[in-house]
Amino acid sequence: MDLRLEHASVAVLALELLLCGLILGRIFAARAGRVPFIRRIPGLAAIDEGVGRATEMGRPILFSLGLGGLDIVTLQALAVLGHVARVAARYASRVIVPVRDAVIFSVTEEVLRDAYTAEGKPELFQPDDVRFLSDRQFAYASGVMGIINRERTASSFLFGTFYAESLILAEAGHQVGALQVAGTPSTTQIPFFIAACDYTIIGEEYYAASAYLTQEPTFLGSLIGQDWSKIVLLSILVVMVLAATLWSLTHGGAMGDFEQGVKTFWEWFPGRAAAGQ
Amino acid sequence: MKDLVIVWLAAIATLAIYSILYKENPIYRFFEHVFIGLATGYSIARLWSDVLLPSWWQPMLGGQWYWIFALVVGGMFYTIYLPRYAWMSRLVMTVLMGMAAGIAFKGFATLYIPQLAATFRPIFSPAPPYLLVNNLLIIITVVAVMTYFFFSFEHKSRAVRGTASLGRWLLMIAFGAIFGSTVMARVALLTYRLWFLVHDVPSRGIPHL
Repeated sequence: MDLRLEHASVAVLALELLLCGLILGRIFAARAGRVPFIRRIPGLAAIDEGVGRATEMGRPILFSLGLGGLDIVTLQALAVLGHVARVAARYASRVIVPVRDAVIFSVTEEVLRDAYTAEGKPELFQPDDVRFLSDRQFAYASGVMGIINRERTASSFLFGTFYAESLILAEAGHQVGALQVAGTPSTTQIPFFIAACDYTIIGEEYYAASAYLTQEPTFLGSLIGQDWSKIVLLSILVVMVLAATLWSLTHGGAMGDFEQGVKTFWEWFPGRAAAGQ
Repeated sequence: MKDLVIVWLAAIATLAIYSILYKENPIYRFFEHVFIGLATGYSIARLWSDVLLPSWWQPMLGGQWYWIFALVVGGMFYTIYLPRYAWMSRLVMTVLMGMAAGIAFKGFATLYIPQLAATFRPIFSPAPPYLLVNNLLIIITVVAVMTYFFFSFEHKSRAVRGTASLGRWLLMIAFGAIFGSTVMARVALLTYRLWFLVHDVPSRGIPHL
């Protein structure tokens, strides 16, 4: 039996070790007291505004975690939920969280309970505000639409993995005049959130959310480490574009061998047959 | 007769769900709850028939007795409702979270590295000009968009601000293109439903007297 990891290669291993080293290095530096700066992200700054609005209007907040399972995207959404719930608890506001996954349901309850407890108001946590609707996409969407309309939510936060229901949820919030902040790495749904929400967190901003909101040194260090990783990747890109240009000029534009060489380099692993054989 | 009932039920349910476009009302509320209840029941049935029965129950009865431990691990989830034993549920969740982090590493190798390698393109060469323009567009877009997503410094210097701003514009152009193509898919779904209401219901749903 071949026990080597799928897709593992020396180049991938070296690159992942380098990037992990950079991120861990920045995390340790931040925890040692060198707290880094991160720039303002307007969409994330609007989250507190949304909670404040709900408090002023005396209406609840809706936080949808999307359709994802227990993955990185949903964990990030849960981190944002933790922050929203803490601010809401501070001002004695309700946060309603409809979920579509049984595993996420229990984790969400924990996050909400912890947030209210951390703010010294455990009695404000209402277990009924975490609602399992359905794991079917449009049944979930119709349930969230119903909640938004019946509860007349003042603010909607849509964070997580979304599919075709994204516009249905955002439109329902728009119908009741809710302030809406959405964030998703689902590229095909970002345009719908941009069209229907007040603030949209796009691409990498989504993964910067927990660092930005909590200002925890560990998260901040991780975010800065990721910036450094991007610099490494951009440097590799610039070097390889120059190499490709040089190759093309010296080989009359024929790039077949160059591309094969790059492929072989990325896929090479001792003892494994070379790429393309 | 059965077909007739099904078609009419589907038509009524469709119109009831669409009624929220006017405003939230008791008919929508009723059908929303029916929809959620049916969908959840359907999911439980599918979970048993597609996952638990072939992958757990049948192997267990077929001699692979150790599958009984899956029930124990699954049961640990429910300890979340027993404050004294809630730590057991955290064990399972932590394993799942660790697994999600591990899968993210694999995603880096399978998704991003091939994308990075595909960006290694020449910007000057004897190749046809349209290919070079294409290459240049890809490289500029990657660099500009990555610059937009730097968080550790303010985009104050003119070069960084200009590149990040270009990145934002390029993102918006891409989102516009995605919006257009996805809207077409949504219109196709609406057309399919309207076709059901104006064609299928009259042709199959009206009893011949």
